[in-house]
Amino acid sequence: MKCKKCNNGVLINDLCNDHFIEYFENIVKKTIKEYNLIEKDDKIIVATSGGKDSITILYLLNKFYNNVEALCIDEGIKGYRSKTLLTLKQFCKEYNIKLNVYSYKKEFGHSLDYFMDLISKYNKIKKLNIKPCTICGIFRRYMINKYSTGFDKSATGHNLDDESQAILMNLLKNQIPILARFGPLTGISNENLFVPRIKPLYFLSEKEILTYSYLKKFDLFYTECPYVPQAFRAEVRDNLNEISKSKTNEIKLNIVNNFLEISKKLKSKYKDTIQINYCTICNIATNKKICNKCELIEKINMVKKECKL
Amino acid sequence: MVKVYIEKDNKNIELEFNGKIIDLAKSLNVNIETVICVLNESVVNENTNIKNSDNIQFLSVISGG
Repeated sequence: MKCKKCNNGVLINDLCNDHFIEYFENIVKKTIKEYNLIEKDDKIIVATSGGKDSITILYLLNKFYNNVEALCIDEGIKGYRSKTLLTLKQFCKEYNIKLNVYSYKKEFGHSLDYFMDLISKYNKIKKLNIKPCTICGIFRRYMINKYSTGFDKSATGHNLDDESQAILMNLLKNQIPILARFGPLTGISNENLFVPRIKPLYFLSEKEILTYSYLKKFDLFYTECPYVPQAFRAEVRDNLNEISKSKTNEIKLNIVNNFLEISKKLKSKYKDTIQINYCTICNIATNKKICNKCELIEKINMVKKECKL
Repeated sequence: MVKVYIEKDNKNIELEFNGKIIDLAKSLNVNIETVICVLNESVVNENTNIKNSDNIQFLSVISGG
């Protein structure tokens, strides 16, 4: 089978190696342009884990723009983050990108492994339904917002798989107001309370990203976070991949494109329902009385007290 | 013999096989949507034919965090 643009053999999406790389980079440029994600002189921080998605977007934004830095949150996941962090440090050194690393241990006193160990001890006494991805989601989002201050845009490596899964998860959990925030540019409020979050890999699948990173010979630590199998996302992901089998990206693109059709209406409907308050404990912007981060810290402190730790 | 590595399960297998990678994946219960195929160190299309003495790796596209 020949590439649809030349006589070379096909690798993926009816394209040869070189034309796939060209297609991939064009999709990223098109997403940035169509959704007005980046202005020419923007100062961009890329939230990176050292995995294929964030390394790829870091590489591309650094290739296309002048003012790019990397941000890594070290949650403290034994045997995982230490390895991805090493990969990331080598990558940033090779491409001369400034890397900013911040840890849970310094920010919250302990690692994610410690928090999960604590919760698992507590679960033997009373059930506390906190999953690792809940802690990670809340603490990491807080730290990314905090350490993105001073930048114009905060970019993440979220891809077509992540986004189609997230849309389904929020539909299944009846969380439409949360869904309203989604899209290549995150958020619905016009108030400049947070650095805008952008997702230039929004229309590219994990398979395309791994193919690109393999062809580019990025030295990556190819594995998933050990806590992922405990998440609801893993269930949605596996079912979606089963349905998508042999249909390449068609089903996942249908989910995100249909969502984007209705997202303007969703954003306008829920825009006025969001009331911005300031957390009574830490004073950061939130739509509640106490922000999610402080609420979680209070729960953890309660667990520590009851476990006498 | 074809040497197969399935990254997701960290499993190495050796078996007799002649045919397309996609058919090998099906016979090993590997969802082609979740992997890229690396044949003798080069990433290849799943419709590529393989023969005995080839070395094929199914690398998982799923990562996290």
